[in-house]
Amino acid sequence: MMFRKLLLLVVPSLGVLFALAPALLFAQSDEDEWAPVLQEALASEIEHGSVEQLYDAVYIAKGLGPSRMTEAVRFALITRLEMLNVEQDVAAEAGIPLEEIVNGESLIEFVDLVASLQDPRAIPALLGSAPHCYSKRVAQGLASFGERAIEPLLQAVNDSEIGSFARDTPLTAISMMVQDGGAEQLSSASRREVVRLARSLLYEKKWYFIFDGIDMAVGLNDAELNQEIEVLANDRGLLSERGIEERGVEKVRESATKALRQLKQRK
Amino acid sequence: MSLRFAFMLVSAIASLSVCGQVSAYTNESEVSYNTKDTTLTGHSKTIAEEGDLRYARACVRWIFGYDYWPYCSIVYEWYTRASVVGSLHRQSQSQAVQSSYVRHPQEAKTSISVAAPAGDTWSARGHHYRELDHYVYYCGPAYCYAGGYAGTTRRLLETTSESEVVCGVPEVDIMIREYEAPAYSRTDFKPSCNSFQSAGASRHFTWSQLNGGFADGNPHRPWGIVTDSLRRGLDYIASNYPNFKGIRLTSGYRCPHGNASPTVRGSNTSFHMIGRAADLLRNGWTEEEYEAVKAIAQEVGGTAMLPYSRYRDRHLHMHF
Repeated sequence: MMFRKLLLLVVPSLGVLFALAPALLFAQSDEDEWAPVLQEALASEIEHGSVEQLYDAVYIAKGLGPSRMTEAVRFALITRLEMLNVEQDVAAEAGIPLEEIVNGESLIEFVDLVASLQDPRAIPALLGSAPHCYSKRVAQGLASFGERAIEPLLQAVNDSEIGSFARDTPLTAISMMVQDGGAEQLSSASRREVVRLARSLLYEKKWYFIFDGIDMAVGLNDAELNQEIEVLANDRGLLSERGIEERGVEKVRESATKALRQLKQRK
Repeated sequence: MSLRFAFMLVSAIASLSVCGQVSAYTNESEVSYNTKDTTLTGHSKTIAEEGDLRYARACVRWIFGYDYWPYCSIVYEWYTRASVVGSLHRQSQSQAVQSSYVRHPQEAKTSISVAAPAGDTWSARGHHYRELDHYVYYCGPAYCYAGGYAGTTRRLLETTSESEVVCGVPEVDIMIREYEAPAYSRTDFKPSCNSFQSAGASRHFTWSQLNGGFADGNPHRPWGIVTDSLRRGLDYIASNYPNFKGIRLTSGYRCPHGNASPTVRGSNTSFHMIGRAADLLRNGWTEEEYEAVKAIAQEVGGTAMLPYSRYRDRHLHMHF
């Protein structure tokens, strides 16, 4: 019995993972073949490692590429991003600068990698990262999911508590999704929701949200939206009445005029 | 039952102490360098490496006995084998000198002699350093099942001043080498001599602002890298944001060494190192101002931005 007790003190089940982590993290460089055991260790490092270890693990996973990743690594990337999102949410709530949680540029690299997985399970994690960093690649990744992502994207945009920064990623993603005939791929219900969103954006006070509405309108080519664009392009007074700042008025008019040209060319 | 869980908790905590790590390095023996005539005169150097590697065991399967005490029915043992490859690096060449490994990690201690040929001239300008590559393998009774390269430790030995012309500009030679050091840079970007510029102001920003600006970010000025997309993006913001006066470009290009310095602590994949990132700041600006500048950056093709809550000083980090 004494021997058993001693054994228990020395042989923890988690010991294997902890012990393997530092070596396996770097093990890829001289290996052509990625043994499953190495990828398991990499997955463990991604999911349980410190943020510094995570940076290294992300670098290795990026070198590996989505096509060669095992399910364990893909899942670990998604899971860790979800965890990191929560950590940052809590820190932001407490007024702690996010730089204390994770390096900003490393975070961008991480979310870009998760977006490159093109895995629909990553949609919530990618959307959850929107308040913490904006990346065009993430927006592109979300847009590529099409109909599968439209509902969570619309939910995120319409969330009344979402900040201005956090709206960027879902708005850009929806905008990208409806471009170049993408709107035709959506179900009629989703398309209707996007039209509604675009119309509401055209009535925003901040010019950059109106820009998003205009971009969506070009993709949607909806008769009513097109009329709204025409108003924006021609009725300067109306824009001022809506409370858009002077410089913003000019920018909106320019953008609306450009959009009209594009719509006409399409006809 | 509660006793059982308490016991398992104690064993889990105890586990942390048996993890193998290559961590401790002992002092190096003295060696002297004659920097005046840039000749290495010490000839030999012994670097003792010490690891705290130990045997470890893991329980593969727990089962519970009649008294509800868990015990391990299958125990897997492994040991760690560490090997160290030492080399001396000069500006343009490396000299691998010796490698060794230890099989019994609890006694892990190996010595490596790093010796340069007598009278060897360190003619290349730049940093000379010793580098040790560590390999760790995890082995069972019959075979090693995992492991490999576990990291590199690097120590600056000397910096010599005679120049070895590669690009025709010694400072640029040094900068190119910095991109080859994984500790500093892991970007895919491999600069050539032509990648670096010593001038190139944009319409709204001086070359000195674009190239550095942040403390130790780039000690190699005037040499640096600034892409056209960054110039275009920053100029567009300056022209289109009505209250741009007072907004400062606090960091543009950073060399890899500067980016890794303690005052900067940038990511080793930072876009600052490839001339595609910039930090803007107006002291005390509001989130609304910040958002407006960010929106203009997006309008001109900015590919990534970080939020107002990211940095203590509220600077806006952007990629172009």
